[in-house]
Amino acid sequence: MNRKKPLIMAGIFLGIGMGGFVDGIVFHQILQLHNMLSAKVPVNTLVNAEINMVWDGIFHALTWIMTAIGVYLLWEAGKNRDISWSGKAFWGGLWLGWGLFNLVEGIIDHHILGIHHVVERFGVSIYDYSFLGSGILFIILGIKLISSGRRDTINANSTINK
Amino acid sequence: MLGHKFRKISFTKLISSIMYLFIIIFSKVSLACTICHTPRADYVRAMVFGDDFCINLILIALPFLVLSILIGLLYLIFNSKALNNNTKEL
Repeated sequence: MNRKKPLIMAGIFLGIGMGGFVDGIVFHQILQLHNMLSAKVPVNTLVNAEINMVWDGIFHALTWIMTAIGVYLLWEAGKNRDISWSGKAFWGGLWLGWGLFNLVEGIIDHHILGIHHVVERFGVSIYDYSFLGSGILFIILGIKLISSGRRDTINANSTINK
Repeated sequence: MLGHKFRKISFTKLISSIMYLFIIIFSKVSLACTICHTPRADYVRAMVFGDDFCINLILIALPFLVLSILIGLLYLIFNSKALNNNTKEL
């Protein structure tokens, strides 16, 4: 586990970044289902849309920082010769990060603070709970992948020792 | 020779020159540009940087803050598990 830890940590940060960008690009921009402060500043005028667009930009900037940290950690992991490059561990980290993003962002922004909802015109709806559900699903998938990557390494090591 | 002269221009000066160029070009054509001086841009700026700017900033940054703390905790758990395994092996 320890030899894969930097890879998993990089994957988690990149997963948070990717999850944030999927949310921002798909829900905010392409589908325009909600914006960052759309429950607080309703997107019913062009000026309000512009205000929300600025806050969407701040959200994207924070997402970019998480992605940049992930890239830096991956670069640092690349310099470490002890790292066992497991695709499963890395992809597991990515899914885990994406799941954590959906779960944490969903709970805080959609349910506790209520600054926006997945489909803004419905308010708190089945879509918000589906968003949380996807987070839990991604976390389980990530943990499964990470642990199967660990088993692969243990099996490989035992084959080498034989 | 020319490349050497270009290298002397500082990065900050280059960025600020590009920014001014953008302002000059887009202030003529854009109503919504956040850095321009049109009545609508002034209004949007006033709304964004109003009294609730800090609160809104904290609200937006909060999930990222919680995620960072969560990752820190995960890191500590991984570390302590690895430490325990090493101690057992010894």
